[in-house]
Amino acid sequence: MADPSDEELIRRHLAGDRSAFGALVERHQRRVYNLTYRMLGRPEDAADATQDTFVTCMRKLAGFRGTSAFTTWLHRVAVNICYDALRKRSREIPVEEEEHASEAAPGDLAEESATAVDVQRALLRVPEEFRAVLVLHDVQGVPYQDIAESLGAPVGTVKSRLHRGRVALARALRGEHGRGSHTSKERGTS
Amino acid sequence: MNDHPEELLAGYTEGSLGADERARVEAHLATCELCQEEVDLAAEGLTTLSSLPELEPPRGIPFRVRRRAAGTPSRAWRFAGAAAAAAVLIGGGVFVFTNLDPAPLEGEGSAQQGAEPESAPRTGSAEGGGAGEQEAGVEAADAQLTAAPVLPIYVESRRNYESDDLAPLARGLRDDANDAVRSGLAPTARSFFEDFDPSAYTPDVRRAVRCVLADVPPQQLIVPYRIEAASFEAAPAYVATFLQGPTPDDPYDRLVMWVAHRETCGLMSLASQIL
Repeated sequence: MADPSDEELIRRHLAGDRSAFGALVERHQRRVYNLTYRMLGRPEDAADATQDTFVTCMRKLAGFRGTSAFTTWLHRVAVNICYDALRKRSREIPVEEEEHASEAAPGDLAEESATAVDVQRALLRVPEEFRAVLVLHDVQGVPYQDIAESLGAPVGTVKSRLHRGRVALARALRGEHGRGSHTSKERGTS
Repeated sequence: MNDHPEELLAGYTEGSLGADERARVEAHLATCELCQEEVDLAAEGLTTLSSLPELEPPRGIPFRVRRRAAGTPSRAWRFAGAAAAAAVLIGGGVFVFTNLDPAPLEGEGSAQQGAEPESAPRTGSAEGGGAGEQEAGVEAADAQLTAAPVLPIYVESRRNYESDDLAPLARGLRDDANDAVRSGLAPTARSFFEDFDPSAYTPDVRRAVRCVLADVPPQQLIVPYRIEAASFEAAPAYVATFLQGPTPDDPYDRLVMWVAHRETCGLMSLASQIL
């Protein structure tokens, strides 16, 4: 028998099936963890954000209307929780210190290769709105249209952010501190 | 040059454009060094990102529902072990005891402040609808839900509670707690504590739990459900909510609230609510 769809699991959960939500978490927690880890850059923060994502989903599931896919909704919740976490972090620790702190904690990234660690650090220097699109599309392979729905932005904006994000990432990897692309800068000043 | 086809450049980089669009981009690139440079950079960025490995989530992330899904008993919601007594709270309805005065001050229907149960359990942050800190009730506090292991839910807020606020808060949390039980929370204190993992807690949560339970004799297991670092009657306080059954082996039948001073850990108030 095929695995039940997300929508079927939601229906069962709302009907009182106590195993249904667990099955949803099991199915999606890797995806959510990887998304939050790439957004936040720290395993413990990613674990917390993953947990918060599912707690929030559980609480709000009754209001899930099914007009979009569950994963689209899940991404929206997860990305917003990451934004909140980043906002909170920015209030607590000045950005400069934050960057040094992450560089001084290689143990946090022990699972990853040296290259992946460099990429993750560079990713954290990409503005968060671009970062979300980069992670969803280039790391997780989510289509433009689904990202647009998750983020509540037009598809064209998603494509622009993706391009600018890639450029910003490459610059960060090269140790340049430019943010975004020439085209965006030029447009912004014209 | 202000006619950069920015929305097409992402697709161009990944090779997903149709022939017409690709030709348009290439015509532009032939005359625009900036875009050409960016496309080179973007290709580098894309290649780099595609090489990132997928990480295995650490064990112990939320709920640990895998076992449950596999048909074994849930050890999903965890808590750093705490054994505490709440014998004084046995009784029906909502009672609020202030300053350890055992006389019930509020009956179920008389406490009017705070959120109604139906509107209480919402996290305002997740879909862009963040609630203001001044807003009464659980909603405002939960909007600031901070990262923490799943139980207790740890919240930092600037809310100041008065004793009259506790009963409505308890009623609001009741629905939330019932939801948690429905969605995989171990149904009894005993089953809950069989698998607790103290190392999972952040220092803030650990301190809050220790403080809240400081003066409680270890006679009966209760499950910490939510701790809010807030104020009580203008003093810094933990407003802590626990799940309790008649015995550790019975399903929870009530929610109890303890308010402790954040610095002295002295108990400031209590409340109870039938689940």
